[in-house]
Amino acid sequence: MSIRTLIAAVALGAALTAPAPATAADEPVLTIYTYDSFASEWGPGPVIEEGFEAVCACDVKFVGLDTSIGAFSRIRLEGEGTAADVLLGLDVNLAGDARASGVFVEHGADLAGLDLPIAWDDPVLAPFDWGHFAFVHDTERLAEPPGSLEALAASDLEIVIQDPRSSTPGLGLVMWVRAVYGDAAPDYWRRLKPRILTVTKGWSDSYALFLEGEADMALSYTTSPAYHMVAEDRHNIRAAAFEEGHYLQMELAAVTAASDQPELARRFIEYLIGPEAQAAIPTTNWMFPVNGQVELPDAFATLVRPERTLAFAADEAAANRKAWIQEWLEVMGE
Amino acid sequence: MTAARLAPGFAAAILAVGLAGAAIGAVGIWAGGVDLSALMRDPYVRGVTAFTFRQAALSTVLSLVLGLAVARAVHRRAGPRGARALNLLASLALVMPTTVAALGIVAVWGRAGWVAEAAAALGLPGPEGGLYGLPGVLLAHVFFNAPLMARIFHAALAAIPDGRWRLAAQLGFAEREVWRFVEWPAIRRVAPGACGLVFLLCFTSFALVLMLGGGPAASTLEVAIYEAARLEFDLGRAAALSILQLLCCAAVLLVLARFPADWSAGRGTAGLGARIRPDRTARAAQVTDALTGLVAAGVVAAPLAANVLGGLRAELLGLPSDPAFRGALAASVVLGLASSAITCALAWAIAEARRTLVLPTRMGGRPGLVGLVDLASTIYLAVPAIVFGVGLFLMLRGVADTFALAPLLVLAANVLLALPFAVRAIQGRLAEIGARYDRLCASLGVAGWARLRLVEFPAIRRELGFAAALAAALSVGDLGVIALFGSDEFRTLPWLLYLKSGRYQSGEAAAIALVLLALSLAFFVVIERLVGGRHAGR
Repeated sequence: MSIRTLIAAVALGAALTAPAPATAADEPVLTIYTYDSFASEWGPGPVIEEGFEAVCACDVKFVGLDTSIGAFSRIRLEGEGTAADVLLGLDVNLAGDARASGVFVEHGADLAGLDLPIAWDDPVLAPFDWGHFAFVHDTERLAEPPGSLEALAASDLEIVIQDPRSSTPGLGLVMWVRAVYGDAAPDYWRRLKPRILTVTKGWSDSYALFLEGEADMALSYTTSPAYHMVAEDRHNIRAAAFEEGHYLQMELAAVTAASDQPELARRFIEYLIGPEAQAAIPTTNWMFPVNGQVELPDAFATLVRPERTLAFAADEAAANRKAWIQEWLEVMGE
Repeated sequence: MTAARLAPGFAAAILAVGLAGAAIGAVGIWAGGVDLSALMRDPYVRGVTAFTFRQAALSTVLSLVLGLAVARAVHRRAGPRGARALNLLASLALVMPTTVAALGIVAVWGRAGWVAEAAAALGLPGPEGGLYGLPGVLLAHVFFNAPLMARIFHAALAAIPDGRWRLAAQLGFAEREVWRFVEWPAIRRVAPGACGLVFLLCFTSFALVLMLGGGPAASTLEVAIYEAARLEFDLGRAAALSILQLLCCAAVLLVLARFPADWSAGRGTAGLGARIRPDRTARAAQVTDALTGLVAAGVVAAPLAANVLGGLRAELLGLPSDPAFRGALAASVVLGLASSAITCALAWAIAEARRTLVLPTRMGGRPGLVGLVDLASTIYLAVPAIVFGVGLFLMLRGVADTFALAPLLVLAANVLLALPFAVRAIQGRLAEIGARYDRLCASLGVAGWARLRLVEFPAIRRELGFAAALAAALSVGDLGVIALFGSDEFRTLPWLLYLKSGRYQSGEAAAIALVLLALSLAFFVVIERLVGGRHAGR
């Protein structure tokens, strides 16, 4: 046993001490906390890192954490001592919490020229991509999807959604239904409930159930079909356009108050919403860019573009989130 | 003498309890206090706790029933090869990432699953959405835990001395008498430990319960903890909920520790007992075993097969050229080996302390202390990973670079996770060795290292081999902690699986799941043989 212990220990030691890439000593390090798929090899992280390093005389370091909310918690826990200069990926539904937390400062970027589905001039939170929540279906299994939330509830389809307590799209649907039905939301949930095959912890479980053919539709994004078209050349996954409008999913970036190089961080925000970084967004993060000059891949032209974008003001969403989740829980748990 | 036997195990136990306690304490302190009484009054928390208890208790009972039936059927009919297959099955089911396993279950029992297709072909009504709800939750928990129970019970049956079987045969025992006088005494001493383990695993289940439970009516305390810690950033509530979860689990373990443990059974010459069982040819036993085989095939084997088929269909060929995959594979192998070695050392120390408390030749009894030792070796199963991660982080920040420590934290988490399984794999045999050799060793003056080398190791190595293999397989990478700390240099296979499935790449995720299974299998075949020696896996 002892020899094996030793070998294992040595091997682990070797794995731990893998050398970090060398950087020039005088280059500042810009540390960015985000969710891990953003930072991964196939996410936008590496492209944006390379692009900004070419102009910033700095070393960009992405730290991928379990979720963007996890990254946000981490910054709050670290307080003054945080290594993070920038947080990427918070959804609009958490914008109110982000502002109230006081851990971020103004980004200073001019958001007026951005191509967004809603008006947005928040001085602290800068949007860097967006899409809409939508129900996706497979045209080979479902040729005529319902055209509204109301028709969905009246159909005989089996759908999968996510739990708003653990998932961003799940929370998005709670907001969506609230935005359409207001105080009558519980009634709608009661009508929709028979259509809900199950509720999952995260998006990936729902999406897997849908792809396996277990569910007719899954709560996802208007941009989901683009992935299947571009990466897999599959054209049968589509999102259904709903006439009540679609709820907005928009990802935000912020500069931390504890950053010791806020100017560099602000320059990064400028770069992030600029044409070069934005060009990487569609086919790495599978979202719409905020820069209107970016040429979109052909697949994006075929996506559902809702005529009405639904979104609550950040403060309203933050103030009511808990009560609305509770409302959902009560109906779903009946 | 007694002190030397207790000290290492108690130290390991205190370390495990201390770490968990300190982590939750750190979260509570950071939040400025923990209000348990407010929690108890919250109807939401009460409802969730009640459901959690109910589904965990039901899952445990069902796993117990099926596990016992499978163990008896394998013992009656299958011989050493069957026992080996059972061991592999138990380990494979255990190491599957929960959501992967859930997809396997859906592939068999879901609306569009095999059963539905077969039913449609025969013109019968299919399961429709009937899977989702309590049936789905129970099915999934039995999938994970019945093989584990079966493995533990089969080992207990195989340990019944041949003499008893011979006697039973001579007396012409019917099946019922075989159960009452031969099998039950052997099962009784392992059942409480196995039940405790399974109960905890089911109690803390999260993604699985939600997905197959059909909605938030089926949600466990763990969901409430996640909500408090993540979405609401209400760490005081998260810490309080964690304490509530620990208290529930501790209560169950302490109750189970009160059941009498009988250490008189020895290890028989494996195989003979099974051949001379008088109930082998009984019609009732044949029917029961056939039914058991059918149920086990549907609940365990079919979903496993669905996962393997799904993995084979997926993009396996592209994997070896993917540097992210190669790095994750290497990390998982190293992690599995390191964790296995440390886990076995700690498990041995804890099992030694436990037998010192239990054996009549030593301290004889002390159920309270036994319960505490069991809790210590099991506590990580009841500590929510998300709160544990935040707590560890709060303790370490300012002291060390948490990013650089991420691999060590993952290793620690894996050891704590594998510990309860490893302790349970060896504690019965170790106690038995003590009962048999304590007096002999004392009279011959064999003690300390010499006793370890000459008496304990040769006698325990078969069980230790299983523990080492199981620990390695379980530790190819726990997802609970790694994602919370964020580390670009250290990524495990489960992490890669999580990442790919979260990014549309479900085909690659299925392929990685298959590699995970293959790696666990390889660990089993190699480590169990290396540590366990020639008779490993019997």
